[in-house]
Amino acid sequence: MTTTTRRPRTIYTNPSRAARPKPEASGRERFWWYFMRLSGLALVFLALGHMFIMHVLVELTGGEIDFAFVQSRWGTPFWRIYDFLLLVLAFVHGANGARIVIGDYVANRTARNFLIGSLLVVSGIWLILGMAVIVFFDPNTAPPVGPFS
Amino acid sequence: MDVQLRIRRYNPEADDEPHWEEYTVPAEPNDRVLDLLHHVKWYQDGTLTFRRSCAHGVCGSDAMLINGRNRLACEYLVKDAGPQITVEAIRGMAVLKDLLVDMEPFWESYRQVKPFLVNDEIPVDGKERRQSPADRDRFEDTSRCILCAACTTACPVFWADQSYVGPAAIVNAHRFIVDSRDTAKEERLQIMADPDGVWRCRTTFNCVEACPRDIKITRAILEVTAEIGKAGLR
Repeated sequence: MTTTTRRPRTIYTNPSRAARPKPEASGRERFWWYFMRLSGLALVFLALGHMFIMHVLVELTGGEIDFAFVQSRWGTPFWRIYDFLLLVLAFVHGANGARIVIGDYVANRTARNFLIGSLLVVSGIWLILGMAVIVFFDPNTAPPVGPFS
Repeated sequence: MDVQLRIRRYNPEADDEPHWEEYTVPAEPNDRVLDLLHHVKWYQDGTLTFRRSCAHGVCGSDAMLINGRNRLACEYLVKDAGPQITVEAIRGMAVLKDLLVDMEPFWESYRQVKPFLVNDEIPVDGKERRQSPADRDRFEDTSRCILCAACTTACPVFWADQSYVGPAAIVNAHRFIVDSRDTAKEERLQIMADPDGVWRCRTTFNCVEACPRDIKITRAILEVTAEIGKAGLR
């Protein structure tokens, strides 16, 4: 019998489950599992509502998305809470999805920890910036003046 | 009629990469894809390698990717597959030769969930452990699994990372977790609640589509998540 050794077509990222540490229940993964499903459901309505207002209603009424538009919308607590929920749920849902994808495809532990760590830092900063804009926006200020205004 | 059969071949002693080969095979509409493979192996190219045992949809050894979906070659008929048929090995596992894959990661997950009744207590009447028809019905669906691996190798999470326990092992854990006679429920739920257990399921329903026994796998997975909650495991 020939004993040619060739690498298998698929390199298993983890060849042996038996060699792994004892399985442990994970409350964290359970939380994220339910979070992804519930936030996904909420986002169907939040995101579709957002799309309808920003891209359909504005067109139909001949309006324009400018500072005055934002001013009028964020003058009411309802739309601020709506946008806040949309921002937080979409952002956390997306970031956690990216974390899970990294976990699936990056087998190297160091690389995986680095990528997930970077993701956490970058998305954390962005999320806080977005939340700050919604929370601290003052509808009584004058429109900003600058190169893009 | 003649069927154009495309098979993804791979010989580890000769090929660097798998490649497609085409065969023209005479067939009747009621022939199975397995009959076509037999025709190739017996009359055209004896080196074609695949698994099959009972050839009647019970042993679960001939799951293959046929026309883009995991099916049992012995259950899929030519009249349903059409005149052009492609056959590949199931995905996510090392191809040993042609349609033959190394099933070891699949069996490791299966063994880990302890797929057997655990009960060291002596039955009340000393003979048998009785169970109500309603309790028996709870695992009717999942007890029909034939371990063909069609579900697990249709799962995109498993394709990317074989440390995920996979739908087949969850189905077989479910079969004993909801069995009123079993006493190792807690231990199995621990394995299911591991970060590589049920929480990696992305509810894409690929496994449900692939299952030749029509087991409601996603429902079984949801029932296991509910049992984890009921057991107070976090």
